[in-house]
Amino acid sequence: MERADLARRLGHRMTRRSVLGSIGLAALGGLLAACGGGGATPTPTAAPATPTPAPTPTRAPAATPTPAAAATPTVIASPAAAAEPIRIGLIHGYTGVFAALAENLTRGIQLYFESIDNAVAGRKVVFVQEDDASNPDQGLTKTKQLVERDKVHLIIGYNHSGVALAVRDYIHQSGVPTIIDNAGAAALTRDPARRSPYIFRVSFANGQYEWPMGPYAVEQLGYKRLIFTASDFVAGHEKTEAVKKAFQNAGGEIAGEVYPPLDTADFAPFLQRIQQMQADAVWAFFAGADAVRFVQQYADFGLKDQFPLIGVGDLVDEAYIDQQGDAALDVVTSLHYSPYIDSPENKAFVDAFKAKHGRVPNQFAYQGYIAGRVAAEALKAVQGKVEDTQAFLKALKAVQFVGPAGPFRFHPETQNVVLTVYFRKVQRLPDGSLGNVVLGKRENVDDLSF
Amino acid sequence: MNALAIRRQWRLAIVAVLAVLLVLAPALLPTYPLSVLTEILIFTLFAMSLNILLGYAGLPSLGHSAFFGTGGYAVGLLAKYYGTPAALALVIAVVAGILVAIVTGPFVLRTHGAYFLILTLSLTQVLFGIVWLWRKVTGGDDGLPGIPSPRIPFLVGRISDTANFYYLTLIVVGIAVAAIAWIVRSPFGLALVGIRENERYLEGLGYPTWTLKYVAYILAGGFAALAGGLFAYFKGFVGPGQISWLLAGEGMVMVILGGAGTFWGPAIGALLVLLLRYEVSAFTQRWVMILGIVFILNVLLLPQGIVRLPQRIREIRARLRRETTLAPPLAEATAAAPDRSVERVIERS
Repeated sequence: MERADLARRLGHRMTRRSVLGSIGLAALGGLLAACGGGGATPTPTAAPATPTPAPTPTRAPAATPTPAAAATPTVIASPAAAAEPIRIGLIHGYTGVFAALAENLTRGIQLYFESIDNAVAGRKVVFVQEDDASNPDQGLTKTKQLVERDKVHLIIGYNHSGVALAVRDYIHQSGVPTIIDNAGAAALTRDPARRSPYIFRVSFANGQYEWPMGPYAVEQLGYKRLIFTASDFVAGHEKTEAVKKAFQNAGGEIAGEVYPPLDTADFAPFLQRIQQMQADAVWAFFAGADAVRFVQQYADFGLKDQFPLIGVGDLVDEAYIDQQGDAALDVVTSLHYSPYIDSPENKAFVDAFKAKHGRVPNQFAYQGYIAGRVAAEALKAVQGKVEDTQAFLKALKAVQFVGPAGPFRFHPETQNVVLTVYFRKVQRLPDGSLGNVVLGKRENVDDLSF
Repeated sequence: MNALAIRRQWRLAIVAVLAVLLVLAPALLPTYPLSVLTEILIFTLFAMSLNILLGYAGLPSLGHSAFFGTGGYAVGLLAKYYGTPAALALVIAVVAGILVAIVTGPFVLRTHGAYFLILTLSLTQVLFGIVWLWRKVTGGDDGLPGIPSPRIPFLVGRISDTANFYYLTLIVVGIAVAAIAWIVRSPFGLALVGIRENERYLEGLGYPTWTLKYVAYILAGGFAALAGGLFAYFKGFVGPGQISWLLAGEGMVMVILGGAGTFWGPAIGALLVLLLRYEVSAFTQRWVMILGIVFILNVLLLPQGIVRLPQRIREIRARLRRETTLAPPLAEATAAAPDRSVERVIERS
C-alpha cells in the first residue's frame, strides 16, 4: 500500500538489525581471529625440549571429560627429574553415540595413572585428550594432530572399529606405539597383512570372548539347538560368525538367525520370528540402548519362558543392568570381565572405582584400566625412555602381570591380549542390586583360537 | 563505474595473494595444519559444487553426499580390486558421479523446494543402505581402508608426502574451481540464476528450464564426485560416513554460512566449519555447542553469509553516517533487495 509506510517499517527493522549486527560482528570477528590464529600459526616444530600440552589430569575431575590440550603452553618445572613429561594421546568418541563408553574407558585409564601419581620412572605423564566422534574421517585428522602437532609418545584409544581401521595405515607409517582399548575389528590383529608392530590391543578381537560360549552352551548348559540374533553391522556379524562356528564344532545345531538393524526401537517383528522357531535357547548380541530394549522386550514378549537367553556380556552390561531389572535375571553371558570376579586384584580395582565414581566398573572401565596399566608397565620397563621406540615396543610386547581378571599377556605374534573368558549369570545380589555372577571360566583364549 | 573497476582490481589482487599463499603453504606450515588445509580445499570443491544447485539454481539438495560418496567408493573399489592408477580412478569417479546424476535427475527434478529436498535425501539414504548392507563388496560400516595415496611423481623425495598430496589436491581443486567459475559466469550460469529468481518467467522467454536444471544437477554431481574421490585418497579410506546425509547437511551449512549464490561464499564456509571443528575441539569437548552458537549468530547477524561481511560493514557505516544527517530510508530498502539468498529459495518452497 503506502510506500512510505513500508519503507519506514523496513528502515526501522534495519536500524535494529544494524545495531545487533555491529555487536555480533565484533564477537564473531574475535572468534574468527582466534580460530584463524590457531589454524594458521600452529605451534612450531622447534626443539623437543619445549613441551606443548601441559595440564595434568589429576586436576581434572574424571566425571566430565575435560580438555587435556592446553590453550596456553605452560612449562612445568618437573621436580622429580629434568626430563620432559611423557605425552600420551587419548583418542575416543567423546561425542556421539559412544560417548558413555568412551567416558568409561577414559575413567579406567585415569584411575590407573592416578594410582601411580601420574608419573613413571621419575617422568611425569600428561594426557592430550582428543575427540574422534567415532567418525573415521575425524579420527584420522585427530590422530595426525596428536602425532604431528602434539608430538605424543604413545596413543591409547579407539573405541570404534571403523576409526581404528581407518587410522591403521597412518599409525603404521608414522610409527607411534598405539594401544587400542576397545575397537574389536578382528582383522587389525588376526590378518597378517593388516597387523602392525606398532599396534597393540588390550581389549579383545570380535569373537574372542564370544566363541567359548559355543562349546559352553553344548557341554555345560545342555543346549543343542540355538537361535542366533545380533545387530546388523560388521561387529555383530563378526561376533556371531565366531560363536556359530565354535557351537557347530561342539556338535550344536543352528535353528535360525535374525539380524535386526542397529538402533531398533521395536523388536516385536524379530521376536515374532524367533517365537516361531524350534530351539533350546537364544544367543544374542546387542549393545547400549539396543541391549536395554531387546532384553526388556524379550521378557515382555514372554519369550524368556520359552527359550532361555544367553549371549555376549554387552547384553547385560553393568551400565544398564539396573534399568533392565528383572528382565535381565538369569541371562547367561560370556565376557572377559565381571566386577564379581573373586580376586584381590579385582577387589582393589572395584573398590577404587566405586570410591571415585560411586558405581561398579563395567567392562569398558576395566579395559581402560588395563590399557593404563600396560602402558605404565612398559614405560617402567624402559625406565621412562619412551623415545627409544624399538625398545619401548619390545617392552610392551613383554608386559605381563596379574590384573583384575587374571593373568595378562599379549600374544607374541598378533600383539592382541590373551584373555580369560568368564561365563556369568545375572543374579540378585545380597544388597538387592543385579550383578553378573561368575559361573566358570576358560583361560588362555587368544585371537587366533577361532 | 570507476569505483567498480577499482573494486575488481582489489578482488584480483586478493585472489592473486591467496593463490601465492596457497602455493607457498607447504613451506610455511608444518604437516598437520597442511593436512587440515588439504581437507579444506577438498571441502571447498564439495561446497562449491553444491552451491551450483543450492545457490545458483535454487535447488535445495540434501542428497549431495550421494555424489561425494559415489566418487569415494569408486576410488576405493578401483584401488582395492583393480589397483587402478589414481588419475584414471579419479576420472572414473567423476564419470560415476555423472552417471548417478543422469539416472536420478529425471526423478528428483520433477519436484521443487521441500519435495526436492526430501527426494534427494531419500536418494542418499538408498545409496547409504546399499553401502551399509553389501558387506562383501563395500566392507559395510567398516568401510574400505588402505587406499594407497597417490603422489606427484617428480616431487617424490623432494617434499614430504603431505605436501605432495597437498599440491595434487591444489592442482585438481584449482582446475575444478576455475571450471565452476567459468560455468557460473557463462550464459548458462546466468540462466540458472534466472531460474532461481523466476522460473516461469524464464520459461516464458523460451528457455528450456528443465534441461538447464538437469545439466546443472549433472555438473554438480560430477564435481562432488571429484571431491569425494580426492577425499578417499586423502584419508586412504572410504566409509559410509562419506555418503551419509549428515555430510550433505554439513555441505549445506558450509554453503549457507559462507553465502549461497556467491562464488567464494562456500569456500569461506568450508574454511570456517573445518577450522571450528578441528581447532575448537582441541580445546574443549563441548566444541559442538560452540559450533552451534557460531552458526546461530551467523545466521542471525549475517543472513546472507560471511562473504557479504564487507558489504554489511559498508551498509552499517553508511547507515551511521545517514543517521547523523537525516536518512532517506528508501535507499536501504533497495540496497537490501539484491541480496537474494537461500532464505528466499527455501521460503518459496
